[in-house]
Amino acid sequence: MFRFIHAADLHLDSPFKGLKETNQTVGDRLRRATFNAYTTLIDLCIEKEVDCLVVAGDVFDGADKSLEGQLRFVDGLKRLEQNNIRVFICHGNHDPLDSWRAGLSFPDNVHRFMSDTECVKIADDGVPPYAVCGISYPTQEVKRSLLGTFPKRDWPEFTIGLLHASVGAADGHQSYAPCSVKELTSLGYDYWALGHVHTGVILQDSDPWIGYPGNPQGRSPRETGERGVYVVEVGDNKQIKTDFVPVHAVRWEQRDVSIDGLETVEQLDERIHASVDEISEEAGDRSVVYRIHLVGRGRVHHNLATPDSAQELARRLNDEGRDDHEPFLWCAGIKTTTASEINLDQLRKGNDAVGDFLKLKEEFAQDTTLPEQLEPELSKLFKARIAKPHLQELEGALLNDAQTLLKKAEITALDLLVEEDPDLAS
Amino acid sequence: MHIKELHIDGFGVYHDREIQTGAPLTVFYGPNEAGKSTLLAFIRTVLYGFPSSTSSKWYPPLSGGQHSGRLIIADDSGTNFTVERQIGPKGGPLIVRSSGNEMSNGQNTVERLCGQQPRNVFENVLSFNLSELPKLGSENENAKNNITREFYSAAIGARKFQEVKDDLQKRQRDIFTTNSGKQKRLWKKLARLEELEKLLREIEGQSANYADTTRQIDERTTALHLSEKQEKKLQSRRDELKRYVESWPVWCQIRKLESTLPAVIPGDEFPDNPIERLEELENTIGEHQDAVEAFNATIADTRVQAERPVIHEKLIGESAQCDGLVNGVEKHQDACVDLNKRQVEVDKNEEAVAKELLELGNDWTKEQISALDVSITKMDQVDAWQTKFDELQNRLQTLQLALNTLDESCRQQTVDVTRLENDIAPSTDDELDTNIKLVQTALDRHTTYIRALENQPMRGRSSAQFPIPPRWIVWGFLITLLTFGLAIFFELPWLGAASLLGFAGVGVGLVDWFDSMRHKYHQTVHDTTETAKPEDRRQEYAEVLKQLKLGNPESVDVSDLTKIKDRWSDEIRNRQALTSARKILITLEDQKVTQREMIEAHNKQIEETTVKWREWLRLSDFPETLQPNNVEGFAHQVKEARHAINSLKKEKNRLYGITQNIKEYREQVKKLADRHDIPLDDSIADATIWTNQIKTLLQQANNKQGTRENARNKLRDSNAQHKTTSAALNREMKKLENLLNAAQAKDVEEFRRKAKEWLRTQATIRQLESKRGELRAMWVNNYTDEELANKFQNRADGELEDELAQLNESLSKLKNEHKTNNRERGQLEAERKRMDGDEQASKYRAEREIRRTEANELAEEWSTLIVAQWLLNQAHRKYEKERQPAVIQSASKWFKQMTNGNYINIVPPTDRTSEFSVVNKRERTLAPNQLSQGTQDQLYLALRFGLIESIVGHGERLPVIVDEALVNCDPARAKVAASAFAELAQKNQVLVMTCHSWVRDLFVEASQNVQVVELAP
Repeated sequence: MFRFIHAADLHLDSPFKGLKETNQTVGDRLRRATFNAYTTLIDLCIEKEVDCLVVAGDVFDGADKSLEGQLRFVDGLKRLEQNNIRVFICHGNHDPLDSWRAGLSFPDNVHRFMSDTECVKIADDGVPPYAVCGISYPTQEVKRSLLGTFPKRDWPEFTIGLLHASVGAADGHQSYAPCSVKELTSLGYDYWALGHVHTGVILQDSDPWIGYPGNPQGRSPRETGERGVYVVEVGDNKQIKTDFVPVHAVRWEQRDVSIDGLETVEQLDERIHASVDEISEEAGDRSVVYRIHLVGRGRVHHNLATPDSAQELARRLNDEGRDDHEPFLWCAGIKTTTASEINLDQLRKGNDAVGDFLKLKEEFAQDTTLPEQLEPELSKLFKARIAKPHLQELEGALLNDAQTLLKKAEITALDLLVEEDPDLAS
Repeated sequence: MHIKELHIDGFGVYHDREIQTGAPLTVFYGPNEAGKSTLLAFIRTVLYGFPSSTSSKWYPPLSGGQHSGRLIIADDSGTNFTVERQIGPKGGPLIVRSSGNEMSNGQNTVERLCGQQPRNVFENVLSFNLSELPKLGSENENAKNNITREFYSAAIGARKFQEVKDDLQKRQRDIFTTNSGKQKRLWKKLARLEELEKLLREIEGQSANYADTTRQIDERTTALHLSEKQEKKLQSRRDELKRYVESWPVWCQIRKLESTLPAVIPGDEFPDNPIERLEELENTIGEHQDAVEAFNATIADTRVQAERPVIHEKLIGESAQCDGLVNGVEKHQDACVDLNKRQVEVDKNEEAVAKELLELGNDWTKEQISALDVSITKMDQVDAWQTKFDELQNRLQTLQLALNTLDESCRQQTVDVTRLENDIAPSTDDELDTNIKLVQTALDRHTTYIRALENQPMRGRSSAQFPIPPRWIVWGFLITLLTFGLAIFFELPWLGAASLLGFAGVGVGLVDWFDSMRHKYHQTVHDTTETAKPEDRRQEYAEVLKQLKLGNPESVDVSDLTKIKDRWSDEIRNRQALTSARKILITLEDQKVTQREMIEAHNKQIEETTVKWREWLRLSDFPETLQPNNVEGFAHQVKEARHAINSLKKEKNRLYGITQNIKEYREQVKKLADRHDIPLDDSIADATIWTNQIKTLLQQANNKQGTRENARNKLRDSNAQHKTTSAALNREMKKLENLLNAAQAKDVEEFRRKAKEWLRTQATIRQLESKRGELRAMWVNNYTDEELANKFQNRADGELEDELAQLNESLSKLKNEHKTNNRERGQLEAERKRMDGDEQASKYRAEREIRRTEANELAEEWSTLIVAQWLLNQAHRKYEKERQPAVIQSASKWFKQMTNGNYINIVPPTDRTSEFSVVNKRERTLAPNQLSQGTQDQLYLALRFGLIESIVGHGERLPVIVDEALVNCDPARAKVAASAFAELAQKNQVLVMTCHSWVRDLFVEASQNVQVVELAP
């Protein structure tokens, strides 16, 4: 029997996205989170006494040029060397070969695939012989399929294909080294250890097994829940048994909390706390960074109309003292897309200015030229020299989804225009 | 539409209330808290639904009733609808009826009635409340802006339209402005982002030298490694030289010490610590010798004392006896004192005995007295004698008394017989009996005869006389009858009842009376049978009288017959009594004789008994003169005498005892003294003096013997110690001898000399050992003494110092090189560490993400605000283009009407001006602040009315509600407004809420068709 761990997308020392101000303790812990998850991974390799570890790219963020990320990565590999565990690494779009520090020496147990496809056969480790075939990105921009460089299998050993690539439609990820499940299958390997997609997914569970383990540490509000690696056991007849083991140090969570039917801020607090308790319970002994998304329509919308109020809520949650011990619980922010219970249809019928305003908004909502009409308004900010390098992406996103922006604007204006309390008995 | 009636089931303070609002203008007048706002809320609630229970517009039914109500509303075509709403979810269910039938599309109907206008139009456009018609007439810029705003709001129908735009702009500018925006929040975030990028780039540039630095570090490390090896080598050599130099003086000392040692070193056979041991032995021997001498002196002294004799020593052997005598001293003294007292007592008793004997009489001796039996048994015998004598005497007396009684009876009986004998007539007893019987017969016949005579006439009367009832019955009957009559006459039922009771009583009386009458009748019939034929009866009676020889019945009185009969009867009794008396007398005489015989016999018995008594006395040794009754007194005297004799005897015995005791004591003392040759003065009567004398001697003997015993003990101890100490002395002497022998010394002096020499040599050897040890230690115990001696043997003074100086110089040079290398490597490592750690870069990257997030959020917020503002502007423009003309047109018409044609037009704001202006009849254009207060008010109302018309002018005409709108106005302004509303009321229903009577009156004056609803507090 032969056992290995399949990991990918370590992104060592890359910062958390979508975080706002944290306190010192939480900030430090978050910064160390990718390292801590990596340490857990190394511990897991030693604990499970695996024969090798395969890493399918994106060990660190090349754009950040984090030297510490690289050095600590090597430190972990040295520990594996001491435990006679082999390591096979291919590099992906975030850590292409040219982003690695020259002079960084890897220990002898490590095999780094270079820009030419290579198959390494291991026969004298006291386990059934096996082969690992892989290739690394020489530079970041590898938009063509790399599969053609892999040899079709004509050897008997259990074979692992190691590749950083977009297989099928890679949702939310830029397409790199694209290929398909069918193509991968056609090569006749036993296990395709893929990297690039951050959410773990098994594309095919046998002949061959094809899948992404996801990143071992979520780094943005979108990368919620458990994050980890596959512990793979290969039987004597090459049958594969995979076991997903979470190694994340900090867990991201996001919860929608509806304000429907709530009358008071206290009730909202209660509902938020219930969600937080649920998050805390699910996370078990791991720390959590979470975001609350307030949705729905209700009376408390008026209490949330300003951005400060949501920040205040988040601050209160973090002031409750669940941030200064391990595991900690940190609210990274409260997003509000709530609305009051105003009956817009009824208001829209009015012959007054409010009715006119609402009718006009509806007209714009139907107007396909809305982004073009809004662009000059937004350009005051987004075309400003200081903002351009940082907000370009946002501008695109806002204009792409101009309807949402318009709806938000409507709610904002209406909150001020209709001050009366139009709530009906519910 | 026109609200014609309000029916409130339960809402706020109202319960089951109906209010008519048929007139075009209705004024609700009542003090504060009377419920005007409640009415307004009620109308709004019925039309648009119940608010949430947490809302400020929630009016729970405080006075009871169901939380519901209905409005009767007429639409513009005059059709009536009943719009009813009850509390419930989603604003509460709505029921709309038309002509009594519930409509299926109630909600649509209500919306139609409300001109399709939402609640905010109802509240903002159709309602005028307290905040309106403000003071406008101020000149400053703010006030002018306010005026503009107010007029604008009046015209646009959204009071806050402009404020909202301002607010949005302010919030947006807080976040970001292109001009002078460095303090703006977003700007700050973006600036920080730029700064972070720059910092990160710098760090990145630094870390590019990582490989080069690593190489340099490696070079330095190698150099350091080599120099460290060289240094170690030199240091090793230097350390050796240093050791030579340092240990050279020690080596010299060793050599010197070795030279002082004798050629032949004495062995270990010499005793250890010789001087100390010698001195110690000498001291011990001296001490022991002193002790032996001291013991000899003590023994000599003590021996004299131990052998000294003790006077009267034997007396000590009789200490017990002596103690007994001493203890008996007190008792002896008491006996001496008691002796005299006892003698006096004896004398007294002698006298008492003599006196007792004298009282008993002559010839009585003590012995006789003692022998006499006066025991209780004897006295019981005497008592028996006494009883016997008493019984005999009593019997005699009884017999004598019986005789006397018999004498008296005889005398009395004799008298009676004599008297009876005198009374008796001379006839026989039979004759008397016959005569008595005849007299009795005569009496019976007489009675029968008399009765027959009496019954004759009575029988005839009995049929003629009717027995009359008793009088009370008759009276009772009459009174009762009268009462009954009165009762009937006067109709008195109680009297009737009483009279009936009366009748009952009379009835009972009559029954009793009849019963007695019947009894009497039966008696009479019997008597009549018995007493028939009186003549026959007389004959019978006469015959008897004849036999008695007493004449005929008429001459003989019945009482005489009776007297004769009694007299004869007495005669018979007397004769019987006499016979009895004679018999008794004879009996009595016989008894007397018998009695006298008995007395004589008894006297003889007494005499015999007395003789026997005297015989008993003689036998009992009692005096014969004694009678049984005085024997007790004699016995008492005897007992007294006997007691006195006994007392005397006892006293004498005691006296004898005491005397004996004294004598015995003296003899004991005397004997003891004799045994020990102690001379006693016989002239001394008191033996206690002797005893004390012996006691003193005994004490002296004891003391002396004690002293001698102590001396003997001491002597014994001293002898023992003397022996022990002598032995110890010998042992020590032996030790000294051994010590001297061990040192092969003839005497102590020689020993001492030899010992000093030995000690000196030993000290040198030790010093030498110490120095050799020191030297070995200096060479880290790596060499033996011989090796070290060889090492030093070939060295000369001064040679070492030179070599060491050279070596130090080389080493110092090497160290400097090493230090430089090390420092350089440290710097390089620190530099690499800075690149390695990348801690700061990591922090910057984390912060960059945070700032990016914050900037994105702010930018998004800014975008929302700017779009909201843009949207409002678009709406505003659209309003100005599409709706404003109609409002202005309508408002101008109202303004002209209100100002009686003084003003003819209102000009809307243009792109250049942002305020309304008006044109007067002379076609002059004026800004609002150029108008008088009243005209400003009219302009304001005209714009509002224009808005109302433009909004609701095409559909249903909606009611306008004026809720204390005029309260801020002076009377003149209020009048203008009231007139305007009265004018409006011609088209739209106007509902006025006020708590001011003057406001109410204004409206009453202003409109001909006004209805006032007074609301109670």
